[in-house]
Parts: sequence; C-alpha cells; structure tokens
Amino acid sequence: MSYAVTGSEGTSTAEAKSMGPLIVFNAGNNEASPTYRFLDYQRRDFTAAPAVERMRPDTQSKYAKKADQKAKLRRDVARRKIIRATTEAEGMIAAAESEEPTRVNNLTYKLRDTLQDLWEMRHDREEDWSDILNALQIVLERDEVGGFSVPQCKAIRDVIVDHLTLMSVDGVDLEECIVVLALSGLDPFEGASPTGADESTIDDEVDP
Amino acid sequence: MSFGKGTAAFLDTSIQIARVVHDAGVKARIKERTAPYNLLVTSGIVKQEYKRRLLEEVQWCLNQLNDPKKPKTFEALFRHVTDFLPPQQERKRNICTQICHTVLSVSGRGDMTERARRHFRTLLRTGMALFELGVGYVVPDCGCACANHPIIEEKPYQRYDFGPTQCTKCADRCAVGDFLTNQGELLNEIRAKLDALPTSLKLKADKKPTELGKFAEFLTAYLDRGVDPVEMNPCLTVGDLLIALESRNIPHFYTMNGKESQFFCRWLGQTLIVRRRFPAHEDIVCKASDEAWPSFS
Repeated sequence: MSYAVTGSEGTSTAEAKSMGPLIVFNAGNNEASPTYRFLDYQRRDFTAAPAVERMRPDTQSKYAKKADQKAKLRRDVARRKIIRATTEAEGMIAAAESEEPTRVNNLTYKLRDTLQDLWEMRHDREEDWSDILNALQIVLERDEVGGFSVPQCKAIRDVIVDHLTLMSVDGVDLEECIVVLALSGLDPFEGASPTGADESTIDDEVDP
Repeated sequence: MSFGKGTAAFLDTSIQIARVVHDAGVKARIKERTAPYNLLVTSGIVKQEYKRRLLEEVQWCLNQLNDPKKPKTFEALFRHVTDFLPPQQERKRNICTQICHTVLSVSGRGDMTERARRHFRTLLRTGMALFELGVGYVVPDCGCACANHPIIEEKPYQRYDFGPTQCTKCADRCAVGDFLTNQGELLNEIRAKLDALPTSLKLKADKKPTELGKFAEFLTAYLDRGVDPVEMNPCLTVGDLLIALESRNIPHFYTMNGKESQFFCRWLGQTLIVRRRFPAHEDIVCKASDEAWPSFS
C-alpha cells in the first residue's frame, strides 16, 4: 500500500526513497482542508514471512511425549477438532457471503464449542498455540448476534488454517494472528465499558 | 522531489492507548474521527510513553498473577485494581482497569486466571505492532532511544525487557539534544508563553510544579543555564513538551487529555480535538481560528 505520487519537484522517486521516509507538512491557510506533503514512500505493511516457510522450534508440550500412546490419541482428537473448526469457519464465510446472519450466528456457537474443546486439550500443545487459541476465543466471544462480516470470517478461518493446524507454532505466529484479526476489524483487546455511571451526568475534562 | 497530498492528524499517547485497550464505544468514536484523514501521524516520544504507560502496566498485571509468594487470581487482581490502588495512582488504576476489562468477555468460559495470563502476554508480544497498525507515519525527529528499544521477551509470561526509560541510561543513542538544538527560536517563544501563564497553572497548592511548571523549569535550565537536556531525562519528565514539538507541523492534534495540549496547540497554531472519556459524548473541536476555546483541566 503506498500513496499516489501527485507531483514532481526535480528529485526522482528513487532518490527520494533513498532518503528514507520524510514528510513535509504544510498547514496552509485553509483550515477546513489542512494539507501535508510527503515524499513517496511505502506505508508499513505487516507482511511477515508465510507461516510455512519459517523454521519453528520443536516445542511440543512436555506432556505429549512421542512414546505416550494416550498423547498420540489426544493429538489425533485435537487434529479432528481443528478440521471441524475449519469446516465451521468455512461455513461462516459461506453464510456471511450469502447474507444469512442466523446461520453465521449458529455456526459461531458451534465454532465456540469446538474451540472450547480444543482449549481443554491445550496442555498437549505449546504455550504459543494456546495463546493463539485464547485470542481467537476472545474475539469470537465479543460477538453476540452473529454479525461477523465476510472479511472477519475469513480472518477467523485463516488463523485456524494457517496457525492452529501447524504442528508447531511460535511467538511470531501469535503476532501474525493478532494482526490478521485486527486488520479485519476483530479486536482481541476491546474492553467492556469501564463505568456504570450515568454518562449523561458526567462532564469529563471540560471545565464548566 | 515527488509529493503526495492529503489531510493529516496527530495521535497522542492517550489516543494511541485508547485505540488498543478502551471499550468498543470509545474505539468506534476514535475510528469515526480519524477515518476522513489521509494520514495518521504519531511520534517516537508517544511510542515511548505508550510502552511505559500501557505495556509496563500489562507487565505489572502479569506479575500480580505470577507472584511466587501470593499469586493473585484474576478476580483478586481486578478487585485490587478497582478497590485498593490509592487515589495518587489514578492513571495506573484507569489503565489497569482497561487492561482487565479486555479479558472479561471470556468470563463464561472458565480458567479466567490462566486466560488473563495468556491475554496479557499476547498484549506484550503484539503491543508494539498494534501501536503502528493504522498509523501512516511515526515522526522520528526526537531519535528517542527509549522508544526504539524493542520489548524483549526474556521468559514467557514472566520477564520482559522494556529497555531504558531514562535518557541518561542510553545517552550515546539519545538524539533529543540534537532535536532541541534544531528547534531554534521556537523554544524561546514557548518559554516566554509559559512564563506569561498565571502562577496558579504552574504551581500546585503544595508548591510543587505542575506539568506546565516542569516544562518552564526544563526550558529555563536548558536555554539559560545550558544544562545538557539528556541529563534531565526529557522524554520521561517533559514528554508532553517533546510531543508538542514533534507534532508542530501537523495541523490537527487529537488527544483525550486537553489539559496541557490546549496551550501548546494554541501556541503552535494547531486545531485541538479532545476525545472525551465516555462514548456518548461528542469530541470537542477547538479550531485554530476560533478566538475562544473551552478550558480543560
């Protein structure tokens, strides 16, 4: 994502870029339309390396030793749950695309339950995986009426497919998930209203 | 030289924190306000304050849950924040309350203490990325070494290195001195305006300096006595002054705290926009061209 170049004053864009991002602001006299000018530069994009290309530590939980047959079984159950979660997220995308909020809502409930089942199995996985799952559960709990949009459903699906399905994840996966969710408008850090006071009676900050 | 054109607004620390941890209503209001601008700008000193005021409080909350002798449950932490933090720590209480509220939506799913630990760790890991999300430009003019130090996770859920918070601890990398040198006459002009303010705005009842008083003292020490600014830890002690200087070329200044900004914006010819704490309340827009502005305290 970059800004369009709209003028030229003698220096090439390549030269300008070599100078690094530099903004020249000019408030001008027109307050209704304050302007700035800036050298053509790339806005920061959060494009981390694709999940599959990065080396990740072998961080399987201490509870999940390879020789432990029960652990193997639990991992197989977890794998099936993740496949189910993926299917449910795909269903949410289809329902959102066809503008069926009730179906989105019902599938959201299903996905929440599936993720809760995975949460119960979190001790078989590394901490970063559990953190990703926790963040995903938090954003899913925010919505009470199934109002997820198509991009939001896709972000949920992407977190499941690109990260929760991996055999091993790390802190970078966690950061990528939060950014993917935030870019779609899903906000893991949205707080409930901190005050129960009657807002209309409180005149904050401004002196009478 | 190639240029783009557009409208720009500067986001100060309070707005940057609110964009991450405040409730949905405030966030929606901020989004609505900032959406028409082509470019959102913030700065290195804002980043430093964001780390210190928000993310270090997240670490504090995490420490309360991890305390080796008396680990708190999430419920106990929440009660401690809301009921037992003294009034002198109002800012801490407000921010910690916001932080705790971000976990509450999963309260029906159980394991709240564990979820809170994971959630706080996630915020520590991703906080700096969220700071820049949606912001087009971070003014680097101050060269604040404290701001540029990344948060390093030394031991997950337990130890995090935030880097220095005092300029004296990273003097070799701190460029605040050069930044102030480059301000030219502007510092003298601001000092003259601070001097002209009534004493009641610069001294508290107990004769200790207010924020405005600290700015005046800092500028007097720097301009008259030639004290090395780095020795006075400016990004820690007079952060709002540095933020005002960093934002000086951006026509609109957006904040949740108009107390000091009302003076700087007026002096620097900026339009001040104050987001109030409650979502139902409208932003207060003080245009640069307006003769009278409301007073903020």
